Amino acid sequence: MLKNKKLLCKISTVVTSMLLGLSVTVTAIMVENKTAINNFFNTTEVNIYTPEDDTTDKEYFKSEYSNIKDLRAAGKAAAQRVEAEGAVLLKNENLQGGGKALPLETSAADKKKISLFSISSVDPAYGGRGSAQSGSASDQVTPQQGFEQAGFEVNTELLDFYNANRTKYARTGRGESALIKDAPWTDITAAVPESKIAEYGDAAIFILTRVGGEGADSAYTGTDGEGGDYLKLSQTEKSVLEGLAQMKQNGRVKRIVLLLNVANQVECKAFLADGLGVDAVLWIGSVGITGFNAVGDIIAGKVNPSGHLADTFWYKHDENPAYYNFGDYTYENYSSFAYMPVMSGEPHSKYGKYVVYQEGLYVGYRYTETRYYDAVTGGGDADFNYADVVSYPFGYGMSYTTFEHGALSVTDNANGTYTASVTVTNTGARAGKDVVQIYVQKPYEDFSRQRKIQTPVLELVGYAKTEELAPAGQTGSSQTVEITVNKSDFTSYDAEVDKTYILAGGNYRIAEGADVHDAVNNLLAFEGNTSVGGNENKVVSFKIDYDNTTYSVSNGKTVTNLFDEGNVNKYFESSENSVEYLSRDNWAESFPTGGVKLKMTEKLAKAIMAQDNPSELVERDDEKYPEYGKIEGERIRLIDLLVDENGNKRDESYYAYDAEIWDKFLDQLTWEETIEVLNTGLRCTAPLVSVLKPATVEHNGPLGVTSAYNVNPNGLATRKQDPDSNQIPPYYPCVGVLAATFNEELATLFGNMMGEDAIWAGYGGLYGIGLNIHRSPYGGRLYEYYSEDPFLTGHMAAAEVKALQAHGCNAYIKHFALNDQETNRSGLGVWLDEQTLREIYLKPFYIAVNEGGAMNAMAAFNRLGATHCPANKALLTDFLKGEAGMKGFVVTDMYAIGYTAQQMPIFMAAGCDLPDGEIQKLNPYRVYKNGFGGLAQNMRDAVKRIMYATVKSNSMNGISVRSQVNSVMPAWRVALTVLDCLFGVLFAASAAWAVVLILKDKGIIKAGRVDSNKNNNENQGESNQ
Amino acid sequence: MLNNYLKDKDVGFWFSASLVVFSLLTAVVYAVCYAGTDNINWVAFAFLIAAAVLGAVLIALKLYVYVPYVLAALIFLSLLFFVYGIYYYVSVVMVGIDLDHFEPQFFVCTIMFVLATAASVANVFLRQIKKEVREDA
Repeated sequence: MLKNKKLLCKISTVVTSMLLGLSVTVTAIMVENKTAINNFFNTTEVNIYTPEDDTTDKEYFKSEYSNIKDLRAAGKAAAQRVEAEGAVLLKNENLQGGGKALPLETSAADKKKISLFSISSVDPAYGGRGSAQSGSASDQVTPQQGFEQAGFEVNTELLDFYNANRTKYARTGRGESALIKDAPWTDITAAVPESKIAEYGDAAIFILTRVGGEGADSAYTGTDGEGGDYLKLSQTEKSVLEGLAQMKQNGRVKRIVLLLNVANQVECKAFLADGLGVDAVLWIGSVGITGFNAVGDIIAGKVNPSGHLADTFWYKHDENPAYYNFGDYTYENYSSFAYMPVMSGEPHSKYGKYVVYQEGLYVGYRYTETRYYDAVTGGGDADFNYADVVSYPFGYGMSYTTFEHGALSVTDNANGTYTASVTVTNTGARAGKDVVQIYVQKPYEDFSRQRKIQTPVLELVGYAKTEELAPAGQTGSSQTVEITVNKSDFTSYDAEVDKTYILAGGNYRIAEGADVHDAVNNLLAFEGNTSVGGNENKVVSFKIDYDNTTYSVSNGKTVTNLFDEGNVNKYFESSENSVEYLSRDNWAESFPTGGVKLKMTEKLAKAIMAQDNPSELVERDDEKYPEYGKIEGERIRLIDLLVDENGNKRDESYYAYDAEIWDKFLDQLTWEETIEVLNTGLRCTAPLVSVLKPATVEHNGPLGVTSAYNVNPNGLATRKQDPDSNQIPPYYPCVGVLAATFNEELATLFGNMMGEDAIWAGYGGLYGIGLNIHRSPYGGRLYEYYSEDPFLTGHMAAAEVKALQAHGCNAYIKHFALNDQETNRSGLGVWLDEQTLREIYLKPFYIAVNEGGAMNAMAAFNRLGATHCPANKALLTDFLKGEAGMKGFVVTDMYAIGYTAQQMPIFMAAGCDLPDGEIQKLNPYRVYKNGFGGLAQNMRDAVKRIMYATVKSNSMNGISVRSQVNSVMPAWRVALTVLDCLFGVLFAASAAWAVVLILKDKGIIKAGRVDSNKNNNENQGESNQ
Repeated sequence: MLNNYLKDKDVGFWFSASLVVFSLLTAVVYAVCYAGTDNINWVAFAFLIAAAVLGAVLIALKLYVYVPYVLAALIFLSLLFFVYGIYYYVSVVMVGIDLDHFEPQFFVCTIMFVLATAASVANVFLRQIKKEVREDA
């Protein structure tokens, strides 16, 4: 009997102890991530409620739509429109039988029959991986649907084959483990006879897909692309194209059309190779929810393509100077510094990796066109063969019609701007839109050379898209496009002498062209070179005097060198490390041939490690702490800043960033409340009961909301209980497609639609827009970024930001800065010169803030030189919040991947305000309550910025001056607490039982006293004996 | 002499002795796999070491009856801290942002921790010393 009891007791103790342990662990983890859990369960710990009889208007950001059905329809139409104007027709050959390959007109009477090839015909790229991953809406348009709605009859037997073998041929992996796979020609023809393909042989449409995403770049090696390169054709893909070429040769397929379903690009040499017989190529990027409708329409000629490339399309990727310094580089002799962290015996990727932007300013067309120009004019090496380097230049795009651009005229407006004017005329038989591109040539003479100022031959300074121009001869076939060009865009950054933005004295030329290469040829023609076929009338020249003052101040801040420490040649002693940046004075010798080798030094190692240790970088000071808990009169709540006592919205000047009211508001907060706000930032900002600050919830990803509309309680969808609130909002084509539209109206539309979705889904902010640069086609996250050109990136983004924020959805422009590759992104040391940094990589952020009013930003995982971006005061405080004038706050990238909570005080001191994570439990600020006044002032400023961003967001919707707030414990926390208590009690009972049995076993207490339940009297008797 | 020492040991003793070694091995493998990463929890490591050391000490002191309980408690605690240390990594893989698949060391460590825990729990129900000898004693 006792044995059984012992066994039962053992089992009970073991089981209850394990349940208790697991329960407590789960509770700890869930409470640690309560913000994310609350977001997941759609619960809140702060309940703001408004009396039902409060009839004041509480929708401070209103939707233009009355229901989700209409909103979704508009969003889908917008996505289709962006794709229709952004897809770029790269190639359109004449067919042997006459006529162009495209358009392929189809009608009910003459329905064209087509076959779709590659696994992407059933599994294309709608978006990418990671934060901007496309949603899973059930109504996304498949390629088949897109072509069928355009009027084509699609070979369904072939689609059935791909559908039946989806898993077998699906793309897998990423980075070096990525496999393109797909079905080889032999498998296709074994399942679908050639006769069937011939029956649907009006066109063979091959969808070539590559998918990028967060956390990994496209790899040079290791994949099943040619030579292991992910951006080349695989042998399987080649086999299909060769098979189709053979069928075309035999007259069984009329045309081969290649759709490049790639946000970046595949190496052009691969698909332009002789023998593949590709007649037409359309770059479509990743297409979003309805993009394939647009693609179908373009192929059918219902839409005339008008997209122009936002990137240089390289003939061979190894001709790109950035190719040689992209990816994985480890500091030499890292391991000789014993205190540097290692991981699995290798240098730790967060500490030991770097990349040098050796190509300097010569990114994309800035390299190809400058080197071409120099080769033609004799200033560079004559061996440079442009055709071996570039297949399609920046700005290139074909149409089904032809356009004629008249002579360029430029007027000096004498206010720091010029007006460039061009008349565009449709000379073809189809209506269509065209793009006007305006470039500047700055003088490059001894003045610039002596100051080490690099100057590309042309840089984009203006662009516009025409209206749809009617066919030749009809009314509306011509339009005069006027583009305002800012003189500030003619400046160069002189990091050596004036240490600010300057205008070099000399001749400036404004050139217009169908693409950048055309503009260079026009420039050459203007200079008298007749061999290249340019048009001298498309260039205007004028003189500008040297000026080193006008552009040396921005938003009241003096602009001067901030980033010397990111330049290898200035950070290190020349005996330690040095680099020769690419220079147009020395193309051949300075062209990179391999990755720059850098050695770890004592200075660098110490600087890197110090950033893990707040006690080294956050110093005590005598600065006065701000006021805490000081309330004069009535408490000022956040809603009181937005509306008056009658519920009328106040003028924005009342709560402007510099308004006096903020001092009184902030004085009310206690130290504890300050910390509470600053410790929570996992795609949200924390609510604060005392000042009625609502939580804000931010969506992660710049290509559309990917959760259902009813994801947040504050969303209009939930509040209105819309019947379609479980629908997923539309997701949009990659922003490279948006950039390729060269149409800021569409960027505004893009921002408007995402802003509307944010109002309905209850998002007060968007972790986007992505403003990093397409430095290399191999960048994993290029689908989130616009272009290789900072001007185009910045201005398209500014239009998008304005529209988005007009809906109370704050932009978090990212990833600030230099997160241009994914490899080793957490802690990667990026080295480059200040001119390049400012003119290429910071410029889009500057434009998005200065012109678009971007509210917030996300600091990148990587470092600038030695210093982590969120720890970089020069980047965050001096540049972003200073020169650019950003009023909102900076959040880290996902802190748990890249940083530790203990680093936050370092980041705070540098101007990074919030972790993208929940660190309440770790509370790194607790030790700074005394003796760190400087840090405390930064913390106050951070809270101010968070409050300012909140009051300017749609998170205030639904709150009135009569609103009340209380704390609540969400159901999941109640359930966990109950479970913890239950298991605790059970374990305690089991443990007590075990103790009794042990004591009994040892004879310390007698058996009968324990067994009182059974026979109390008897036991009592035994005990007495 | 060794035979004399072993003659009264039951299967539980061997389990305990093996667990002492396995705890040490798990701790070493865990440290090798995750030292220098954000995914290691040194408390879990410490509990494993403690399990190995205390287990060995108790065996040396011939306090066999306590060994399984001490091992089970410490190893289970180490599992809980292992879970606490690794959960973020698991969520990262599940979300597919930085990683899209679990790395081999994750499987190795998870299997070792789970095995150690399961074995230590089973050990609680095993006899350490042969019954007749125990009774004689």
